[in-house]
Amino acid sequence: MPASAKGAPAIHVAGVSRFYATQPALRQVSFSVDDGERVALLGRNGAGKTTLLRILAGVLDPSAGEVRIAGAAPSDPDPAWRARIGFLPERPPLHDDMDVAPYLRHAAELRGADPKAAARVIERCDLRRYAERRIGTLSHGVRQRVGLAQAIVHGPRVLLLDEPAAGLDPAQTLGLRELLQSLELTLVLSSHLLSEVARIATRYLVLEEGRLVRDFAATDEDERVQLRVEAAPGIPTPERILVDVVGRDGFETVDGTTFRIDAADRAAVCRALIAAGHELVALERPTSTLSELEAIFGEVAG
Amino acid sequence: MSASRRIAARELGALRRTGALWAFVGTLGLVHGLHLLAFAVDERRTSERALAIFFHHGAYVMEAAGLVLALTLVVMGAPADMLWRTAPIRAHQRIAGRFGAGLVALALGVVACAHLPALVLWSGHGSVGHMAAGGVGWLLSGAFGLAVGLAGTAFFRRPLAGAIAGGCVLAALELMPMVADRVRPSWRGVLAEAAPVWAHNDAFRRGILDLSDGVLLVGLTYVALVAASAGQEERRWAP
Repeated sequence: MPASAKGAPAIHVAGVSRFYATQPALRQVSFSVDDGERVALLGRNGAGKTTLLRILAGVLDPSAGEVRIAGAAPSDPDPAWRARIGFLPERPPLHDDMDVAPYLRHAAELRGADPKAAARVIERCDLRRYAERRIGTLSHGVRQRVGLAQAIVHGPRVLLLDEPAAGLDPAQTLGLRELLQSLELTLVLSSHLLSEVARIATRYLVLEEGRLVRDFAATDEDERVQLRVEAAPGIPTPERILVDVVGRDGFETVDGTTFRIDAADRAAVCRALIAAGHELVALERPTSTLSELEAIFGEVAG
Repeated sequence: MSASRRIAARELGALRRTGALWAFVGTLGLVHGLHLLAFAVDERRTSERALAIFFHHGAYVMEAAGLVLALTLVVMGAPADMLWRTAPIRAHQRIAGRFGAGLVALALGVVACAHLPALVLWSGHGSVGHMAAGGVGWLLSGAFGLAVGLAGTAFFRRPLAGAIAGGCVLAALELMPMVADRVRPSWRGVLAEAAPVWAHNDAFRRGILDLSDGVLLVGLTYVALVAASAGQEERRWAP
């Protein structure tokens, strides 16, 4: 595992257990997360995901074990470290009586950030239309975005999200995904939407009955996209165009009409193929990680 | 601006925006007005006596109003509880902020009811000083009720249960002088002095600013706020 920029991992969890009365919610969970990693917590309902996130957010103490997050222990009596984390719980912590912009300014000020950061996060979370609207009147999807905005308004080092896509429609889910992909921070999120998780996370922790049963990274395949082309006759072949655009080593031929290219090259490749007169049938991500996630989830869920 | 002042400003803004502040002040004015007309004013009483009765009974109303205000603030803030719990602020800053907002609301209530004792002064004898001392007594009683309410709600998962517990504490304290006559003499003095309004509003209701009573009420309020902070800190870790 690569060392973080500051030497210490962004999150360090060692032997953490948590009991509710005598009922175990987490049992001997240990892992570390480096700066910039995007980690997804997976597991069935009651597996311990929310408990783990709440412990990381410093709102629940572990019954046993050690937690260090952003260089501090959550039990540290000096609460200054909390400014280094952002947390979006399952129910966004919103003041329904406030307008969006004043609420975000309030959230920024409480975390010691410049209140002007609220304006930036309003832009970033695409909330400009709602800035002067009362939070209590907003739809579920917009409330979720406001909740995410309060979690990132102060520029945290670690962002913790509990089911951020729950109840969102496809367009809102897409917007959330793009926003999360654009953030440069350490991310830990829990979600039941495996297809979304596969697109956001680079590492997966699977919990079952409070135990960490799998810890694995996304495959390199996810950095590539798959392109299917209906080749038109009488013009340079798709392969020839791909060589021109990304070079011979920049793509991989699956069959005569399907190619794999780096995700970063997709726009240039698509433009060139269309300009030449070929028809694009599909542009998709290979599903290796998603398939793997579904298989593991199915295995764990029995 | 400190975190406490930010929280106080937000809480006061929430009371104002939701209309709870005006409902609170209006209800307070109604209760005090009915009380003044129904019990305090009597042709056979002097103005001073009428004011003393008004400020005495009114202090109990203020104590209960403080408790209700605490419950209102906690219930209104509950959905955003996690915002504060994950912010770099201490429990006592949060309690101080809420208490500050409640105190301003109580002070507005006292000021909004100032015309009631003024009517007594206008139609009889008395002094502005009597009114001012009575108002201070009300504010101190209300502040104590508010602090006990915040302490109760800090220790209980359900705010209503906390407010009920706080109400029981206030009632028990106010009933102590009745118990005092039935216990050993060594306990009698302590119990007789335990009632915030019964034992320590007497000077204020008669128009005297008694420093020792004032300090004692402020001290009791402070103790309740410390308990509220401790309870809040404990609840930070609650599931």
